[in-house]
Amino acid sequence: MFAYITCSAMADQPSKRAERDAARDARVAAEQADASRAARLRRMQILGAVAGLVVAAIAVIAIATGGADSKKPPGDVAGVAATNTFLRGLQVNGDTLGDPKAPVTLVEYVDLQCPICKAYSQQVMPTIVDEYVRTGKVRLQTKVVSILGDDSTKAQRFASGVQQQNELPFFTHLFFENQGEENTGYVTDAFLRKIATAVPGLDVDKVFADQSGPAAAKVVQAADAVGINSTPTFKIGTSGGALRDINIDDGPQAIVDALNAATK
Amino acid sequence: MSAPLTSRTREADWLRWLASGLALLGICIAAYLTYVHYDDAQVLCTGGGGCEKVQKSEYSKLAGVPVALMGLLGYIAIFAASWIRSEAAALAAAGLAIGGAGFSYYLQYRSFVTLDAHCVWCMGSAAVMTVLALVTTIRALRYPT
Repeated sequence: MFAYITCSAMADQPSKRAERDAARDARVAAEQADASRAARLRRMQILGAVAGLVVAAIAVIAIATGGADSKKPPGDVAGVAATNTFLRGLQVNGDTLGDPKAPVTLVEYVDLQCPICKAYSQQVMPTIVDEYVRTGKVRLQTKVVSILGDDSTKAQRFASGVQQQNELPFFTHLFFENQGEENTGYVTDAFLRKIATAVPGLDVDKVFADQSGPAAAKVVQAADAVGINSTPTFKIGTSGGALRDINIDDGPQAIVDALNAATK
Repeated sequence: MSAPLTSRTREADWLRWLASGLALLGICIAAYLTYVHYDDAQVLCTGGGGCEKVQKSEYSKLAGVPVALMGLLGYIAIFAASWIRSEAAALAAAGLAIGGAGFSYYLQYRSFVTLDAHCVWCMGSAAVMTVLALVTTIRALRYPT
């Protein structure tokens, strides 16, 4: 009996040790799991704080750069909404409005002081753009020339700077909407800045810098080299090919007729 | 015990490689846009001038610094942090990616809503930064070292 008890006690020893070891291992594992969970929670808190800071920083940047577009348009510039509607969704490349691969090119030469150009911009071009440019049949190029005086020259030079940022169509349309009386000296830096500030995304300071640069000078020279002496003047032709004049003495229907003939 | 550990190590390595690859892709995009910005070159773009318009807009800079350059530096930092085995580096990579993704969404808003222009390079960068934010966050939470 004694021997049995002794043997039995000896047999129990390793089992209890194993249980203690197992319990210790479980406790250590649980502590490690707790520590791991705590560390993960801490990392989540750090990243959450980072995300919060990012949101706050973006809100500050958005407010500093014009909030929800509150900076634009300025209240005293007319026609911003109409210009937005007129151009919405259209591609612009330099002086070209519409699909650059359109098979037909219509070129419009304008003097920004010219009141007839303004009338065409407001009453004729929106229909032409909707029916021929928006449908991809025609690409419209606008060339700004200067034939009426110093105000025209100043506006042309500025427009050549705007063109570097692919905003020429928006700018010219908006200029016409706010056109002043011919050759009264109204085309000042302040006037140009006011109009340009209403053009979404335009870097106005860069335009003032670019208007004296070689790229702008090239644009002006190319437009002047055509020798336009009345505005608006329209030319039409196959894209990449020769252009022919459209005689608009009898009104804008001539443009529509030319477009229909060229796109049929 | 060794099988799960090996599996976790493989997963951690896989996440590190994925983060590095995405950061490298982002570096390529941002480097190209930075080059175009400083060289004043025309951006190769689908969609007719949208990239050019965005690149030359007032929103292309923040406090005078081109956002493309900021993106480039951010991607480089994330790439470097992906290869440093420390909790701080993993958190830094995730924090930078979360910040970059948030800023990208803001720029996308400016591009689509304010400018009405679509820049595929910018959209690509925003997409890369979004996935990068997810990958680096998972990595920072699960395999910080």
